[in-house]
Amino acid sequence: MDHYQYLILMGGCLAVTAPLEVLGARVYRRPARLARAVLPVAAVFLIWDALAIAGGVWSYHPRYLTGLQLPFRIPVEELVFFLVIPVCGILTYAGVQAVADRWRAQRSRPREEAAPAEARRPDSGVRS
Amino acid sequence: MTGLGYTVPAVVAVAAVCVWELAFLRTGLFRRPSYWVAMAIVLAFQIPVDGWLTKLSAPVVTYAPGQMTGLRFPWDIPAEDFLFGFALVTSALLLWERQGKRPERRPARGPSAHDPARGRNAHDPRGELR
Repeated sequence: MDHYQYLILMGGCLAVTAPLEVLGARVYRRPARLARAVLPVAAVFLIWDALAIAGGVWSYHPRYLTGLQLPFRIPVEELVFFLVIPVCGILTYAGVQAVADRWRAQRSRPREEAAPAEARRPDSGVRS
Repeated sequence: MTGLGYTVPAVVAVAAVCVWELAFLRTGLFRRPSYWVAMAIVLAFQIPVDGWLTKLSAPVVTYAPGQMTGLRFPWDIPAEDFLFGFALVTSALLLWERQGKRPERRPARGPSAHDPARGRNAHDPRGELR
């Protein structure tokens, strides 16, 4: 199980951010736009990663990795990281925008529309 | 540059991302509150995830001590990781934003005194027509 530690952590990041898509982030529903945002960034950071690994700036504990490697001794987990983290960042940003847009829409809704919604609330009759 | 194999590239990456946006892309991302709220949330989640990867008791990632400042906070997270994370997430958001069309949000009106680019791009301040 230890060998999957890094991958499980990345899976956790995807799982935690997944509900944002349902909240209205609409990121996974725009796969081409997502790919054009994430892939060039991942490519640049993989080059940085390769240079840092080659230069001994950082290294990875083999115990926590699957052992699968890309060229230039890059662990496959690093590719996953450079895809997952930007996706999570975009989901967060789009999620915040979706929530903000919803608030704005609610605030600007005319009073006539808001009133019946208030009356439908189950506790509305209890209050004096 | 020896001894600073992580610190220097991390600072350069942040500067490069800022120059890329302010001088070339001009998406207006840094002026948007949603961006800063999102980055605060990302930062809050970076701490447990990065903290797990870099914890000195059982590190997934090990750094050469001579290549960084040695500042580690919170827990054992190298300070450079926050620059790295900022550059990684912000550059992805810039590319995401550059393709975006959000007609429901109106651009600020009129050219801003401290932003000469705004006046020139007044017809398309958010890059929506690109």
